[in-house]
Amino acid sequence: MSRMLAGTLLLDTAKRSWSREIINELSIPYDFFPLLYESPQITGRVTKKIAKEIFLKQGTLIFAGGADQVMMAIGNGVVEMEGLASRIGTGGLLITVTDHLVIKSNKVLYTIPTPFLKNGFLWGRFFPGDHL
Amino acid sequence: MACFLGIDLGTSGVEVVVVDETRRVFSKSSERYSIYSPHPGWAEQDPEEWWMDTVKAVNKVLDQAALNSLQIRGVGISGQTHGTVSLDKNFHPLRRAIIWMDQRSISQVKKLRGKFGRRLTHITGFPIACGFMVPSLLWIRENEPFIWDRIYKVILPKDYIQLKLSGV
Repeated sequence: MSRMLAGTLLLDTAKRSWSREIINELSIPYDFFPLLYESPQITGRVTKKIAKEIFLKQGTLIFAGGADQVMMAIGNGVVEMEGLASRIGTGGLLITVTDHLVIKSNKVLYTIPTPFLKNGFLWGRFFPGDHL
Repeated sequence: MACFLGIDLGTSGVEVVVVDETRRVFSKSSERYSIYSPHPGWAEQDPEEWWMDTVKAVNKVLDQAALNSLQIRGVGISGQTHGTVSLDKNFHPLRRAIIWMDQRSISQVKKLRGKFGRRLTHITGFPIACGFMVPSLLWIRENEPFIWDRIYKVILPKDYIQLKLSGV
């Protein structure tokens, strides 16, 4: 079992790991939570069984990926400090890149390595609301 | 030519694209699925519907692109955030997923704010809100103990697709 992320309210975003502090205080079993991967990491391969059901070859690599809006921002080239993306789907988000932790009560923070920032963060503000 | 498959497990549906190494989009396809609201303010989705629609969209996109599966080098997955998928020991969903827009956990959110104040936001970088995994999990513990007792793992929506594809 693998994977991700901060919007669970269980991730220690600075340490990029599950927050034992929060999990312990809420008396939730720690093994409920799977291993974590960074977005560009390989988490597994298409199994033989599934290759019969879907047009993908057994062994095809599966990457961890991440939150839709953040992946969209990276896909649109928001990988450097000056970049800004605006995305309006079922939910909306303005999103930019930082090289350090920015914690604000009305904003959201994701840990994403970008090609330019190995330990980068993508930082966003939900619509409707004021600007970044 | 080496191609990559992108899957986005959204809120109203799944979208799939095939891109080549130069990021040129070869083909796209999508399928829509339902949001269930058995009570006012509730929003749930069925992980099996996510999976079946993903298979349909992937097969359609590869068919359209006239690529055989051998040319797909890797699969990247993005998806709706925050939602809670609870799994039993065999990795089968124990109930429908409680998704990000669900508002049932107001009392759990109030308790979390009382207990943690700003500390939770300082650790996670996120505000406390309904639909996020922690309040939804606490809601299950308080209201569906028969589900809670059988939980083996909790994962996010897109991770269910990764689990089905790779078996781990």
